[in-house]
Amino acid sequence: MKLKYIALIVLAAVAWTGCDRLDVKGMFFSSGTHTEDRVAEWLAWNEEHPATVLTGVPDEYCVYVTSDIHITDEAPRVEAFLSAEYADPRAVFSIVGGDIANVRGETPFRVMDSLLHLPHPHYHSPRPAEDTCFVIIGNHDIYFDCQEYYKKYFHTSTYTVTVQTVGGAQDLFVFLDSGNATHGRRQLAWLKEVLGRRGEYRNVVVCTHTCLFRTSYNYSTTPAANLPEDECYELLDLMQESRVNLFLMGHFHHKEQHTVGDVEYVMTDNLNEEKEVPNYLVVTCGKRVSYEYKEL
Amino acid sequence: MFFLLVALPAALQAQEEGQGAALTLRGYGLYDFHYATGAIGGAALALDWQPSPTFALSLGAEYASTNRISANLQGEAVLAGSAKAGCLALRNRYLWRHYPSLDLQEFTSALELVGHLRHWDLNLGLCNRYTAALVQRSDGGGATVLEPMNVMFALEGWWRDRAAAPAWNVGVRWSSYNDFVIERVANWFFSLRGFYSLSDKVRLTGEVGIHPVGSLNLTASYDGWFGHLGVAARL
Repeated sequence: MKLKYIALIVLAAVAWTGCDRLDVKGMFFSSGTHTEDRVAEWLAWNEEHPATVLTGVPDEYCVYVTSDIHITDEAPRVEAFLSAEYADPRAVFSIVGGDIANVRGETPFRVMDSLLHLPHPHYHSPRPAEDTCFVIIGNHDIYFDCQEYYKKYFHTSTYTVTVQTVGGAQDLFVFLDSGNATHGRRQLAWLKEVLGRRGEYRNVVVCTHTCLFRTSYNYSTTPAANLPEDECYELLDLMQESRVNLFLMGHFHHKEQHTVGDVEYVMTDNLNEEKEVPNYLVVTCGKRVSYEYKEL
Repeated sequence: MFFLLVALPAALQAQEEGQGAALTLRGYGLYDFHYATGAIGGAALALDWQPSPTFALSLGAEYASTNRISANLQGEAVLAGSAKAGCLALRNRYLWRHYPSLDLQEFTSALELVGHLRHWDLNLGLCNRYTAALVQRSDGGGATVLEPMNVMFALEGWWRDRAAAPAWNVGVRWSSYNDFVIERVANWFFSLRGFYSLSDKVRLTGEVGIHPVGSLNLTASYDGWFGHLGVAARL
């Protein structure tokens, strides 16, 4: 009798492995690239492509933020999110904080890329369309070795965007790759170097996919989905030391806000089609940084 | 005998062995390597006090080469059952961690079901962890994180029959937490652990394990390894 159940479980696991949504084999065995390798590629790309600097931005502006959009083949909610940003005259750009893909293959990345090339009412030439939405990689984007598709369309997941306002202030947005639930040694060294220039900026916002805290008790986070503890605390310490204003995270598919020291840690909600009441985040940058959730 | 390096709470192990009050001093060297954060060396010291077969207190401190200093106070109590048949145990821990720019204090409360066989231990429980930063916000607000209802599990197998009180033993462990002196609930890991008794009162202990980052709902990535080597002396 026991053997029967074991055989059923094994069969179910094999069947599950064959589905297009969850890379079951990859959950237990390393597949694709390690964070270190990916970050090396991202930084190499950065060397040949200067960091984005957005100029002439009002002294107080908004950034629309979402994550975990989990595209299968169509993305009406992402389109609605981008449309909301486009319609907001205070909005300068949007952020998609990882987990673009919901299924194996190139389609989710191609769909996301096509959305970024929709006509933008505020920023026509010469600003490239890519500069209206900044994207990072999430854990689902490396399932089934899909990071190659991410790389094809979005090129980098470790980079900065500087916003220069008309009043002479500079804000820094730092984007990180935590698709494997670690930022890796190379990326942390890069991050320390970037944050070492904290004094040049009015506000600093850091964005990564994986949540730093083990705060969700739904199926997706038990028993594991977080950074190694040493890395987590090192990051908290670095954020405090660097006086980062806002640390944006995704991954757990709900709204969540914490403060550790002086730093606000905020989780975006998710926009996948299965969410009953999806929200996104509107971050306002001015003399200070504030945020609010908005229902889609 | 000792209550160290077993998946059972300390109090249970003593109950099994029919002991009364006991005081044990543990000292460890530790090496931790993460691809992300590099190598960490350190040392830890713990004092375990067991005033009754169903209750134990442990006081520990650790210094790591990253200038992290940690200290904890942990209490374990058997709520129901017995070591041989399994039991329900409560484990509460206060932990203070010092980092260069941040001091954190954590309070963790765990409720565990414990199964104990001659070669196997199984722990399954839930824990709540409440973290507060001692550095207060400059605007006077609070600084806390509650991590609720996280699953703790440990499956441990020992090579030699523990009922025969062997002088040495080795075991393998699959767990989502590590009861080594200072530890939080972490990503699950595999480890190999063992001990060698030099005498009735002194035991050498060791453990090596791997650090996975991201597991189950993430693509697996193995981030490094750790090792502990120590000595425990019953006072």
